[in-house]
Amino acid sequence: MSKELEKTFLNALEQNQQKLLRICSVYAKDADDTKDLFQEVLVQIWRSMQTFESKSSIGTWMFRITLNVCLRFRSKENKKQKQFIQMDSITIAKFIPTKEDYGEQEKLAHLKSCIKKLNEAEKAVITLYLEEVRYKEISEILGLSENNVAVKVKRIKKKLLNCIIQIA
Amino acid sequence: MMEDELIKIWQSSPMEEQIKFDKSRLMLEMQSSLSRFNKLVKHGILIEQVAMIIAIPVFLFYIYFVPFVLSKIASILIVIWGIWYFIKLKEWKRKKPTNLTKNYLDYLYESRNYLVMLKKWGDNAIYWYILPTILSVILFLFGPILAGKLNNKMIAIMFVVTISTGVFTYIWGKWRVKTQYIPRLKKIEELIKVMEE
Repeated sequence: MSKELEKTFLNALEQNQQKLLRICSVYAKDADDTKDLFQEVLVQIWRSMQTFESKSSIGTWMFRITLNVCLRFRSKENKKQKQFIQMDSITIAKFIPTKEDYGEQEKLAHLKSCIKKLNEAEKAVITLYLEEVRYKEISEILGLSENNVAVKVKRIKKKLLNCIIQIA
Repeated sequence: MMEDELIKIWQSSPMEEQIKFDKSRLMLEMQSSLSRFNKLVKHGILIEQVAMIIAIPVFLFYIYFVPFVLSKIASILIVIWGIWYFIKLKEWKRKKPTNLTKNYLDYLYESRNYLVMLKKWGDNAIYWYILPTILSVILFLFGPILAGKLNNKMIAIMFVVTISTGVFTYIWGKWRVKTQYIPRLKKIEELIKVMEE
């Protein structure tokens, strides 16, 4: 693969890594699973790099691959692959929150646990919305109409708010 | 809680985990893990294809060198079946949804169609996989049996082994459909339903 493609990949990765990791965390069971899934996503993005056409932004394209990988991800299968996919060049360190952060962290934990209760299609819609991806782009990534996306977002947000209120 | 606050809370998580990359090392690892991964993905179908590549010449050899007519006929049938199966394996490999760059809904449709196809073949495996091979092997055995070249003990052992293999393959196939194809298909059907509603 060319140096130019490698550079594009690394730049896009640096810009979107946190977003991709957040999406992975919604589909994974725990922190280890998140790391495995994130690595799997990177491998698949790298594998598809040669087919990337600049029709959509590279970020949108990365989200699309991430969601498709998350859909087919199976922890058990991934454990089998783990012996093959070991990327020591990536480290995901846990952040230790300060006292001021605790309130926010708690809210985030509630939100994450509510998102985890949604089905996988709803997770896909809401994670993209929460990443502030525009409706047009969400519709391109998911293959739905913009109106349909808007309706779904509204419905899922209502579900999430109810869930968070119940937990809190 | 305000709706927009959801976005704020969600995006407060970048601080939760810190990702660090060793760029040059990452690229090297990508290259090597990818080639190993690709090999692994192809593994299942590859084993069957290699089995066919070995079986076809072996039975072609039998057509010429085994003296019994029934065994010759069985060998011809096995070779024809082997070629057909080899072509089918290639077709399945080609149809496997590997294009992750498609939109989510199209990817779901493609995965569903692929699973439906595999399930259909799995459900009918007795007709196209088990019976043709087992009956051909039994026909093959009848060649030396009718010529009186095998003793009763050998005949019994060969029949038990052949039929047990058939039964095992049947049960294993049913188990695979039940535990691997049906749950995944159900899940994908549910997701498509949610996306379309």
